Amino acid sequence: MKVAIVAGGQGAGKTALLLHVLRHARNAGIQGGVFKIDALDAGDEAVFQAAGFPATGHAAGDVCPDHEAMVVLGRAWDWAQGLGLDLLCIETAGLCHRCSPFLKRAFALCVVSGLAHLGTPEGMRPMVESADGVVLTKTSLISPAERQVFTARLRAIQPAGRVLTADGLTGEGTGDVAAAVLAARDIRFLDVEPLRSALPMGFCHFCQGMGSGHG
Amino acid sequence: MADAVTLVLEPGRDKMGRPETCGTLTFLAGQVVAICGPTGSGKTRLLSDLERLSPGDSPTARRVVLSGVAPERVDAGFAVGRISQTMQFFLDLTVAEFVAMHRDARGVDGELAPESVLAAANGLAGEPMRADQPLAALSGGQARALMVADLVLVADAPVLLIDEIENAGIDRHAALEFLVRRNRLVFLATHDPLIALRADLRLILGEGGIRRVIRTTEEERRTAARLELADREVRDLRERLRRGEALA
Repeated sequence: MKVAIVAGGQGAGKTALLLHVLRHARNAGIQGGVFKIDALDAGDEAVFQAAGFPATGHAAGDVCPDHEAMVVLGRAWDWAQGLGLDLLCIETAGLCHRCSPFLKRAFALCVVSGLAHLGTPEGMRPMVESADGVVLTKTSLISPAERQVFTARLRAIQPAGRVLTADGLTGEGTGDVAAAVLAARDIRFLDVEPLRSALPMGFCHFCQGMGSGHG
Repeated sequence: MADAVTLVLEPGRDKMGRPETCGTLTFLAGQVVAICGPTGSGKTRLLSDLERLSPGDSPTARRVVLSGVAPERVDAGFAVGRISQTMQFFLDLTVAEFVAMHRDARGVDGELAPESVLAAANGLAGEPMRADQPLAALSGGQARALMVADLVLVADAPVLLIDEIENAGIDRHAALEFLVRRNRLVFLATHDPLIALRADLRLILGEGGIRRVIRTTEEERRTAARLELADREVRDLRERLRRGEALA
C-alpha cells in the first residue's frame, strides 16, 4: 500500500486537493482513502464519502493533530488495510508548524495556500524542508506574478525545489500532484516509523491545559 | 529572450466530448492571436491550457508544447505570462517591494529599477500609483496596469495571455501597444472588434472547442482602420464629457 501524509495549515486547501488526487488515482485504477486528523472534529470525512471515497476522522483533542497523527498511525494503517485500499492518505492540520509530521518512508506532501502571507514558507520551514513535494494552492485566485514570487520563496527552502502549483477549484495542476503521489513506493507495514525532522523538546503549561502561569 | 519561440497546440475536445477539427496549430513569436466567442464558449479554458502548457490532463485534453525557451524558465513558470480582467493583488507588500521581489525571483540582475516599472504602469493607469503604496490598496485599474508593466518588464515572458483587456480598467490602446512589442507571441481573449482585428488571426470558440481559425484579411484591416477613427471620436467625446464640455 502507498501512504501519503498531507500536511499544512488550516484552510490551505488540503481537502480540495486530496479530492482531485483521489479522483486521478481512481482513474488510474488505484483505490484510495483518507484518514483525517483534526484538532476538533470538523466532519470533513463526509466530503470524501460523498465523492465515493472511504474516509474516517479522528479528533486530536488537546494534542497537536500533527503529533496525534504519529500516535494513531497504526490505527490508520489497519483501517486502510481492512478496506483493502491501495493508497492511504493521512490528512493533518498542525497547529504551530514548528515541526513536521512526515515519516521517513511515507510520501510527504506539504500544502501551502497561495493566499497566505509571504512569510509563511519560512514560518513552516521544517515541513517545507522535509517534504517530498510542496503544493501551492488556490493559484486561480492570485496573479501569476504573485505565484512566481511565492514559488521562488518555497523553492529557496525546499532542497530539491519540488514545488507544484494546483488549484482545488478548477483542478488545474492536480494531475501532476497525483502523479507524484502515485509514483511513491509501496510500504509493506507501518509501525514504529522514524520522523524526518526533530520535534520540539517539551510542552509549556499552556499546551498541557494548565492555563497561563509564571512559566 | 529567445527569438525562435514556437507554440504547438494539439486539438482536444469540446464540452460535449466531440473532437476539435482545427488540426494541430502552430504559433510563432511575433504573432498576435485573438480568441473570440460567446461567454461560456471556452475562451478562458483555452487560456488556462496555454498557460499551463497543458500535457493533456485538462478537461479539454488539449496538448500544448512550447519550444525555443530554456527549460529552467519554463520550470520556474516564467515562460508564459497571463493577465485577466478581474485579477487583484493579495500580497502584503508595497509596489516597490513587490517589483524588487519579483525581479529577484526571476533571477535577473539589479539593473531593472522598480521606478521604471512604476513609470510604465502609470502610463497605463487612469490615476498614478506611488512606489510606497500597498498592493492591496491599489484600485482594480492600477493593479492591472502594474501587472501589465510587470509582465513585460520583469517577468519578460515570451508568451503573453491577456483576458479581455478592454474590461481591465486601463488604457487598452496603450496597454496593447506595450504588450505586442518585442517579438512576443500574444494571445488576446476579446469581445472587442478593434482588438480582434489587431491580431494576425483569430480562433473562434463554441461549446468549449475551437470551431474556426480565421486569418485577418486585407478587407478586414480596412474595417479596422475605419473602426479606429470611430473609436478615436468616442474617446474624444468621453474626455469632453468628463471635463463637462458640450458634446455637439
